Amino acid sequence: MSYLIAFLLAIVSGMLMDNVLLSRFYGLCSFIGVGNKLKSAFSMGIAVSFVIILASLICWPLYNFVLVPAGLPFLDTLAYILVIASLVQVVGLFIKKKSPSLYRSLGIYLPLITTNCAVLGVAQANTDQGLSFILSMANALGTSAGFLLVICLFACIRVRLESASTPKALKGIPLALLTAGIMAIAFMGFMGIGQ
Amino acid sequence: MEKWVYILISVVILTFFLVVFFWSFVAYKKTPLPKGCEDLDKEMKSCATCGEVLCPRKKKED
Amino acid sequence: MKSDAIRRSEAKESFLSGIIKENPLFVSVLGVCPALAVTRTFEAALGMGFLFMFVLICSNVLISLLKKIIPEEVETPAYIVIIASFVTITKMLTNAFLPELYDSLGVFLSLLVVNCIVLGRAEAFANKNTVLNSFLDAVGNGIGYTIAICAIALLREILGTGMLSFGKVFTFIPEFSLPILKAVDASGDIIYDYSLFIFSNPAGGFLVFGAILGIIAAVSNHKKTKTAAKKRAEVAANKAMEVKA
Repeated sequence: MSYLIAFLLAIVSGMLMDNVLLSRFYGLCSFIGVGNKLKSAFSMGIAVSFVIILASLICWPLYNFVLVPAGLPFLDTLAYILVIASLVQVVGLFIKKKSPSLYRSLGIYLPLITTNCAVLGVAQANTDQGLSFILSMANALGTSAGFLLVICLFACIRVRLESASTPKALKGIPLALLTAGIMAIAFMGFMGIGQ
Repeated sequence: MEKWVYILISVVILTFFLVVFFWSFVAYKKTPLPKGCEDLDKEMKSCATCGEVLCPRKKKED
Repeated sequence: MKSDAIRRSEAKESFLSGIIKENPLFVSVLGVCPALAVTRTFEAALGMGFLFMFVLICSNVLISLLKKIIPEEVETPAYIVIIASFVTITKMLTNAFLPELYDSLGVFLSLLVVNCIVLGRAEAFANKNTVLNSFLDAVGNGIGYTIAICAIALLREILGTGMLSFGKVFTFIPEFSLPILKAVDASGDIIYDYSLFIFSNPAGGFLVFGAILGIIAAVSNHKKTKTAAKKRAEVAANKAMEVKA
């Protein structure tokens, strides 16, 4: 029972307290470039989440059962990026062939996910910190949920920002960053939850 | 198991991933776009700020 | 064959553009993840900048050397493998010689593999230009990025902790702190403290970066309107002369 609680707590903490975008700074490039359409932001979030979870699922055993016993732990970064990039391209292949409608909504973001710091960051952090498999998956799930949450919130806020009157110099990215800063301050409020 | 067995296994697995890696990139580029997906230009207004270099649209613009 | 003058000006152009005109962080807004994450202290940012420049130079030079050998379909995956190898080498060297820097950078050293700038310069520049130009381009971009993140780190550390600390990451320098907004005397009592802790926080990183980009946008907008007004004045003056003649 306590395992379950620890698992859920790890997910929630990854999502709120140590949010992947606003606190750990992982997926920022795609975050800044996300438009103001909630639907496409949501699709991208789902795609990224899918890749994060699947990549963590493959990379943890790859490190702990293959690389470490062979005495090659330093090959982790190279191995992870191979796994992640091929994963993304293979998923893209499937989407291209089977479902044009799915390609419509998230085909453009697929190559973007390869260089998304969040995917490689979570996979690397899981093994750098020596987490167990359960905690690694919790980390991955929390990261995915956190990413999805923040990206959707941000898309909604951007809709409002477009119609507001702001100083000309701030329009676009500077305003996005300042808004993200305010969001980060808001999320800091979650730090008090739990021990 | 002895160490050299592990090293052999890891070399095999890594070579497998390397091959899949290269194959997947080539295969993805070669499969044509499904019909009706050519007009996705309007949605990506933010492409100018996007830092993505693997983006197929950026390649088309070049 | 290109004349020497053209080659020299091309080289100069590729070097300088990376620093100001096309600064990878402030103008192209690439490589943002490390820019906000490692800029909590000035030293860490400086270290990251150097390592980034090292990886960029190595990968640009190697890719430029191999540009005729790598077939076009496997360009992107090949570049990723090359960059990942150099990042692994850098990680190992840093872990060996500067372990405090390695600890403070954490995952972001590995994340140089998917850094948009490294991959971007490889695909856009190194596979089309000579080795010398690629090298200069890498140095220029590296310097530009280092200056950019050091600027952010300087602001964040001074505003956030009030002091500029040295010697914590680069341990071969004796440890000392420059009191700017906060001074602590010998017994540890605070003499004055005007620092704002928010800037040391992740949120502060966003705010500082956004403010800097806003200032740069304001300056460039101002320049644009100035040149536009100049042009209009010129056109009007030309028209007036034509009418007279």
